[in-house]
Amino acid sequence: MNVGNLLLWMMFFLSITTVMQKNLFHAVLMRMALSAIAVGAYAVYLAPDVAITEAMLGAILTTFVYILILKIPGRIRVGYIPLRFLFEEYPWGFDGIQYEIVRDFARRYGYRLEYEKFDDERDLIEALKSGYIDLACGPILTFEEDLGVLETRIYRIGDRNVDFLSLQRKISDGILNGEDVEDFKEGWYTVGFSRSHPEFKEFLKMMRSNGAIDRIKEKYVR
Amino acid sequence: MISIIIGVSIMTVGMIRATFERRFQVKLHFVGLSDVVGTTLVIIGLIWEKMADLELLLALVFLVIWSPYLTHMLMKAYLSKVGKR
Repeated sequence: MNVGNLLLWMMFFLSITTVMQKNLFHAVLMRMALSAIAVGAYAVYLAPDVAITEAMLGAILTTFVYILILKIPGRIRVGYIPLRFLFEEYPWGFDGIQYEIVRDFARRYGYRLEYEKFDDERDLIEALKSGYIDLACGPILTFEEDLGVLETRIYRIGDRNVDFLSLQRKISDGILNGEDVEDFKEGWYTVGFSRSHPEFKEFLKMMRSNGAIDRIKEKYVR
Repeated sequence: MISIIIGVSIMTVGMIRATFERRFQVKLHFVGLSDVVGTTLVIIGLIWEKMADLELLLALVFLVIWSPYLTHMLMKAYLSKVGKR
């Protein structure tokens, strides 16, 4: 196999790899490698003009445009059910433990936030699963301590699990009666995140480990 | 000829490592180095063997100046998007 053929095979292999990449940054990187190898291949096949054009357009300009596009800040849609201490809605904006965590996440990763209000927990969870929203705030529960933002009790009422704050609200609205509670276990409130933002899990763990969540919590719950 | 062979070998090793490496930073490191050095060696080898014109040096100049800069920009964009972990 001569050098030209080897470079052509490498280009073939890299082009398939580029298409198969799921992460955009990885795809741009492989595309950059493909162009650089193409420059070598054109040079070997004694086509200097094409090699120069490929170096300028393929390796440099195209990569530059891709990087510019990737740097444009993304948008995150936050679904929420207003709940005391966690995600409170005021005429002038939002407040609460979950809100501060989501706001810090957006600041750190350069996202722009959009909010969508939900009335029902099932609709909120469904919207998160379908990818309509990226983050879910309100009575989102977890049993993983790493992901917890506030301790709570999860009560069993019939075949449903209801958290402490939602139960309080439902009792005050007259929807439920405190005597309906059958059993409870310890759990945590968290912020739900979609599969398209796995970095949120790392962010929550980092906030928990450096004590940032405890500092936010102290502002609201004493 | 030896320069061309070394250049292609470096590109091959860089490509294989970049393809099978999972971490973006390591991928970028391999691609950024192997492609510039590999292409440079191939083009210098071709000119040395008098198989190509000096015209090819222009392509080399573009690559040598811009490729490290683009690698740097790509890493900056990645860090600003994903965060410094």
